[in-house]
Formats: sequence, C-alpha cells, structure tokens
Amino acid sequence: MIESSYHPGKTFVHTFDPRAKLFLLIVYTTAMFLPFQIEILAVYAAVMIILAFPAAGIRDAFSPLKVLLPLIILIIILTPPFFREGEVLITYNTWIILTDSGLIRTCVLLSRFIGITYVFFVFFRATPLNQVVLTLRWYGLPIKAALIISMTFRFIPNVTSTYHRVSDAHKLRGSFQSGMWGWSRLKGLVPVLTSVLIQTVKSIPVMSMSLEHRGFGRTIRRTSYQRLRGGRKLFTHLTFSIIIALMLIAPIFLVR
Amino acid sequence: MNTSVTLKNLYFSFPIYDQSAKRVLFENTSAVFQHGMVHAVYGRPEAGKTTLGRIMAGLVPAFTGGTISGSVLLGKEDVLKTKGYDLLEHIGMVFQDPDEQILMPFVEDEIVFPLESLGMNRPKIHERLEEELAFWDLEELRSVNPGNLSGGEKKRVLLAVLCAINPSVWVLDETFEELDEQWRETLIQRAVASGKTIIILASKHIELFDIYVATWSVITENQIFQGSKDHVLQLLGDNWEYKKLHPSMPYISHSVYNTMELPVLSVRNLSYTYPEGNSDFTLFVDKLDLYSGKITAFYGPNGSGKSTLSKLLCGLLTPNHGEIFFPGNGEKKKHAAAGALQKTTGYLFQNPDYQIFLPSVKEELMYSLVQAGIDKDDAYRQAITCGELFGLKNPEEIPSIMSYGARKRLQAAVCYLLDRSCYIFDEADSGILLSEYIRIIDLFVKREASLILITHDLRLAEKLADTIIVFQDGRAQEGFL
Amino acid sequence: MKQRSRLGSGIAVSPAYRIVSISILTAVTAVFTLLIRIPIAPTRGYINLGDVAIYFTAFTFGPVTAVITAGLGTAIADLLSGYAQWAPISLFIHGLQGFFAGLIVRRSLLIMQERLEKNETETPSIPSTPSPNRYRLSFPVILLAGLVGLIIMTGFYFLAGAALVGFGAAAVEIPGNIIQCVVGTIGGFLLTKTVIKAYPPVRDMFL
Repeated sequence: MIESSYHPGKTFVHTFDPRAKLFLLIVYTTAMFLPFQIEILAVYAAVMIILAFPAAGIRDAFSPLKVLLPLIILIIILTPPFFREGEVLITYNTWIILTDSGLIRTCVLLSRFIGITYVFFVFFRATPLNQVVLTLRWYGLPIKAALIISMTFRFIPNVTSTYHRVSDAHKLRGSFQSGMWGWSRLKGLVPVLTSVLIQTVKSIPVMSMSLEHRGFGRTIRRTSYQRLRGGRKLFTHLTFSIIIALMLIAPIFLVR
Repeated sequence: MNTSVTLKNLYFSFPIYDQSAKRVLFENTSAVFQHGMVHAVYGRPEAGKTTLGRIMAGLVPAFTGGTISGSVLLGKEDVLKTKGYDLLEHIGMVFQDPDEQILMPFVEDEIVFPLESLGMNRPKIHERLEEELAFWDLEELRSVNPGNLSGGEKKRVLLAVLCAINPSVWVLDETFEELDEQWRETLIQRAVASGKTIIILASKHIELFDIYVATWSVITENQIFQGSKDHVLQLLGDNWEYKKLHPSMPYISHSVYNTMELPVLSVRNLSYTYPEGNSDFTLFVDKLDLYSGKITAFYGPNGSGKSTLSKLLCGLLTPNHGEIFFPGNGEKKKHAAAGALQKTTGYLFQNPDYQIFLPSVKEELMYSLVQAGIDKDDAYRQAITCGELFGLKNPEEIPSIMSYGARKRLQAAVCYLLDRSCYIFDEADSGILLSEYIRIIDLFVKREASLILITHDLRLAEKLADTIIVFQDGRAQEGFL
Repeated sequence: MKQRSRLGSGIAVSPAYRIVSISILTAVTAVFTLLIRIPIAPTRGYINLGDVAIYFTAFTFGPVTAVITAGLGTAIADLLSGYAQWAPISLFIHGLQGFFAGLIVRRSLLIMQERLEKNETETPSIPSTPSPNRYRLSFPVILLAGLVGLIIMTGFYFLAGAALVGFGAAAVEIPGNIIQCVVGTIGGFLLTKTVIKAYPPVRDMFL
C-alpha cells in the first residue's frame, strides 16, 4: 500500500531533488490558476502529461485520465451552458449550445484540471514517500508531525488486515452480510466496524508504550539520521527550479 | 554500575470498569535479579510475565492504569517514580507480539529511531546501524516495510534495535518462541557475551539456555517464587509437559468417528491461486475427507497453504478448480456455494477479538441464537448453559476487557452455539493453558463435529489428531512427505 | 487551561499517547475512506465511510485529535487512490470539519460537567464516589456537530471544485457530499455508542 503511489526509476524526474520538485509543484499549481491564454495553459498541461512517461512508465501514464474520464465529460457538458455571450458556434433550433467564450472557458478548465492532476501524479510517482516526508521536514514541518505521518503509513496495512479478518470472522458468525446496498449495508457493517474500532483503539496504549520505550519524550534534543543530501547538487537543482518557475510565470507579463 | 533489578513488596491490579471483576496480578511479592547474570522467569499464560516486564520498563501502570505499590529498583533508582523514556539506556524489552512494538514503516528507521532519541551523532548511528543489520542478517531487508516480514524476521528486527541501544537490562518476552534454532543459539550467545542483566520471560521450558541461567523463577498465584530449576518447573505445572499429557488428562476418545459413514465435507482435485500478489503460490489438494467426530491436524510451516485451505473450506475463498462438497446430502461432486460452506464450517481465529462487538458475554452468546429466530428467553437459557460449560461465570462481564484466556473461551463458546458440523481451530493453543485447550476440543468432539487443528507443533498434532495433513509449498498430503 | 484538566485522564495527556492515538486514528480514517466506496459523486468518484471515522474520532477523542486525523487521513487516502490533487484540499476541509464537530462535543461535555459539579456541591448528602462516567452525547449536540460539518464540507468542496472544474461540475457533487456527510454523522454516532458500550475505556480518551 505504501509503495502503491511510487514508481521506482532512475530518470531525471526521479533524481531531481525532491525539495526543488515540491517547489515546482506549488509554482505550477499556482500558475494554472493565473489568467493565461488558453494556448499557454494547454501547453503546460501537455508538458505534464509528457513528463508522466518517464515518471510512471508508458503503461501507467494515462491512468489518471481513465480515473477522471467521467469528470472530464461533466466539465465538457456542464460548462458551456453558463456562457451565453460571444460568437455563437453551435445552436439547436433556437437553443444556444456553444459560444466561443464557453468553448474557451471549457478548455481552460480542462487544461487546468488535467495539468494539476498530472503534476501531482508525476510528483508522487517519482518521489518515494520517505523523501516526501524529509522534504516537508526541510521546509519546516515539525518533527512530531513527520513522526505522525511515518507511523500512519506503518499502521495503514495493519488496520486494513484487521478490517479484512474482522469481516471474515463476522461473515462466519452470521453478523455481517456482504453485497447489500444503501442503508441496510451500513447497518450490516456496524458490528464489523465496531470490532475494528475496538481492536484499533485497544492497541493505542500498547503502541504508546512502545513509543515511550524508544525514548520519545526525553528532554534531550533528538538528532536526525536520515537527511536529504545538500551541497552542490541541491544548489544547482534549486537554481534550475527557480529558473523554470520564472519561465512558468513569465507569460503573465507578455499578455498584459 | 550495578543494575540488578529488585522488587520489594510489589502490588499490582488492573483497573476496574463497570462490570469487570477486580484482577490482582501481584500481591506483596519480592524478588532480586542480580547484575550481569541470566535469569529465567517462567509463568503459565496470563500469570503476569509481560506485565512484570513492562512494570520494570516503567510502562505499566503509566499506559494501562491500575493500582501499584511497593518498589521496583533498577540499581538504586525506583522505576515507579521514573518515566519510561528516561529508562531507554537502562532497560530494553522485546515484546512478545512484534506488531505491538514496531513503529516505523522501514526496518532501517526502526533501528535508528531510539538512537536519535539518545541524541547520538550521525557517524555513531551509522556505525551501530550497519553493525546490527549485519549481525542479524537484515541488510537486504533494510528498506522493507516491517509489516511484510515473517514473524521470525520481525523478532530479529526488534533484537537488532535492542542490541543497537545496548541497555543495561535486557528483557526478552517469549523472544525464543518464533526464532528458529540457529537464531535462538545466536541470541543466547550474544546475550551472555554482552555481560548485561538478562531476564528471559517464558511459558515453556527451552533446554537451550539451561547452562547459562543463574536464577530460576516462576510467577504463580500472584507471587514470584525463586528457587531451584526442578522446583520452579514443578510449580510451572505438570500438565504443561507433553510427556505427562496423554495418560493423565481427561482425554479425547479416538473412536467417536466411523469411516462407514459418509464424510461431512469432501475435497477433490482442488487448486487455488491468489488473484494478485504472490502469484507463484498455488495450493493443490487431491483428496480430503472430513468425518464427524474426527480430528484432523493441518501441519506445516508459515505460508505452506494451511490457512488458504481453511479459508476455502469456510467459503471465504472460491477454488479455481476442483470442488468442496457435502457427500452426506447425497450431492455429487459439485462445488458447494460459498453461503452454504459459511454455514457449515466454523472458524476459531487465532485472535479471539475479531468478532467481539457487544457489551456483555450474555449478548455475545445470544446474538446468533436470536438471529436464527430462537425466542429471547430460550436463547438466554441456552447462552447461560453454554457460558457455564466454557467457564464464563459472569454473563454481564464486558468481553473486550476480560482476560485473554476468557476471551478465547468466549470465542469458542460463540462458535459452539453456531452448531456447525465442521470447525477449524487456527493456532488455538497459543496463549492459553494446554489443559484448557484440550477441554475445549473435547466439548466440540462430544458434539460430533469434525475438527481441524491448524498447528506448528508436531508433537501436539501427534498427540491430539487422528490424521495429520502435512503442508509443504502448497501441497497437502496425508502423513509425511 | 483549567477546563482542560477536567477532561481526559492521566494517560490521555502523555505525549507518546497523543502521537500514537493520532497516528492510529489517521490510519483508521484513511482505511475507512479507501475501503468502502459507493460510486456516486463524480468529482471524487465515490461515497466513502471516511466521514464515519471522522465523526467517531471527533466524538470520542475530541477536536485536537480530530483536526489532524480527519485532514491527514483523508489526504493520505486521496494520495493512495490516485486523487493526489485533492489531497491538500481534503487536508484543509476535513480537518476543519473534524475540528468543529469535536469542539461542539467538547463544549457540551464541559457544560454538562459544570452542571454535575454544581449539583454535587449543592447536595453533598452522599459521599461522592469518583465516577468517570460523565461522557454522554445528547441528540441536539450530535445534530449541531453534524450540521456544522455538513456546511463546512459541502460549502468548501463546492468552492474548491468551482475553481478547479467549474461551477457546473462542482454543483453535481453536492448531493453526494451531503449524503456522505449525513451517513458519516449517523454512522459515527452509532459507532461511538456501540464502541463505548463494548469497550468502556474509550470514555476516558476525550481531550
């Protein structure tokens, strides 16, 4: 489960410093909300889709589109009716279906949505989660928060297997029926979820013992062993990312 | 520095909630564990070994609640007045269940974490990390999620953590249980060579460390008794010894079943492969017949297919080929529906807590009866009778906070009331007295149910079962390979 | 600060306990969000039981725990299920939702406690037994907590959706979000009741 969002690789997208990557992710997302011309937004989105190939491999690169297809269709159907001004492009009897402003707006939304989806996709496919946490630490995330994230990823597989085993146990004692829908399904789940919650809540004191037993809470300052490498590589990559960031924002000055 | 552990007039009882009975664990007990020696502390399941270890580590009652008095001295320091985190370099414990102790999503981080707490600098951490990874043969697993490791590997990770911290007192809670022979040897050698105070908590006697042990203790009747080896093992209990098991126990009669009858459940030419993940594993079973009143043991290492076959028999999985069917119903070789199998086969999971969700023993027992349409008064009477049969005397008690043994018995009682014709006991002997385990099995055999015992323990399988099915790499065969 | 000391027992305030309970409940929230899905709302693709976990946490562990578990749990679930772009939005919106639901329950528990203490001082007839059993949820409180959560969640998701995918598509997901939140409130309340009955130590975990 932890590995499911990371795609191992040695491409430039993978080896680019994660701190620079996170910085670019934020700049890119912001840029997609700036009032750029549609052509520029479309190019940005296309670039991100291209980057998905080295980041995730050919087979996986289109998976976000597949997941988002219903929403993309919704945007295409539901955006144009809100725009009635401008040159009319398509009509049905007397009904205006598409105007040029509606078309542009739809394309802007599509590019923005696809671009942002892909920038997150590329980032998490090409950056292992422990590096993400270290990056956030570097940007000032408190150590306790980083610890919570790490431990959550440690517990997710446990809670998942508890859920599966509990529902098996309840199936066999007749207190859980699967395959129902709606309200009865939720009611049928109550015994299972109750057992799951008791099991997990019960484990809190024991795991707290373990954490305290590993010296968490001492007044002495913790050292940190795992660190992202600094030095010249970091400097070049950060410089490089600032240049890219400026280039991403630059069109705003060209338009006005 | 002298780091012997001294208990003086120790008293401890668990906290009380609503209907729960008062459980006293230690009462006015004293003991000394001398510095730099190996100490073996025995106790039957639930005698209080784990709690004793956690009291020494300053974790109980801080995180469990409960009442404590007396003193626990580590050298000259009273741990009852100290926080657990400040004892990091003084006492280290390896918990019995590794899943309750591992905190980090990577093996490497698990070892590094306590060293960071000590404020160690990076080169020193690096040195210790590499040293212990090499010693415990974990180098290839360093960036693996500990959740994906086997029981023995998890234990090695925790031992690597312990050795990296290298505290003055080592508490090993049933640590030898899941390790294989080679690593048991390695561990005891390392522990002895360390010159630290070693406290081994165990419920079974393992001859391996006999020659190193300086003092023998047993926890029994709220007291810690220290004495000679023979005396201690005698107090640990006769019925714990396998050799004395057979003749003296109220034992299961092996003549209940009759091969002239049709089997309850039959398996023919079965194969199963998991849809995703470990695709190289396939289970094959040519032929298996389960008769009522017969005890069948499933024996084999982890991952050999024991639980996969069990899940197939319960209808929790559906086979790719072959069939599981009921010959008794006159049905011929057609795979039974999952729903029908789920109503034929009962499953006692190793963990008794998976099915507990109601606020009293009574309600847990009545649940399935009421679901089956039996009226409340009748269900109540049946529940009370069944509860007494399984030694659950207080029907108002809250299941989730009963003792482990009582929860195991409740689980068995709930399954008993389901009245299935076939039952699977998954490692049901862990954590309870052997005599209690045998009593439970006996109750089910008297009901003429067909029993399957899943076990790692060949000696136990030989003693209890009529037939042993041996599992090896997904092949299941009667007798031995 | 004086108020805080009256809720939550000794264990509940130790730092290790705080961190572990947050981590475990975050994992629970993430698993509930990922595990059970009914495909309805197109923007997020499904109705999930994440809100059940959020309200359960808010009702039993209080606002301080719920603000993190709700936000982080749903964000991690988004991340793992391929909706990474929603993660920062979920972090913020569900965090607020959990926080306010917990805060409302906390207020009501404190008021109830004050009343109880007043009664005790007025009628000192029986030597007061230390009763930890002061945890009680009343129906109006649950309703209020659910309603506030509902407004926060649907409102902010609509705004975020409007910016990202346009008003039209964002409006489509409103009914789904409302159902999810209502199911979450009812489910969370039901589970709080059953869990506290079956495992009473939960009562002492509210902060």
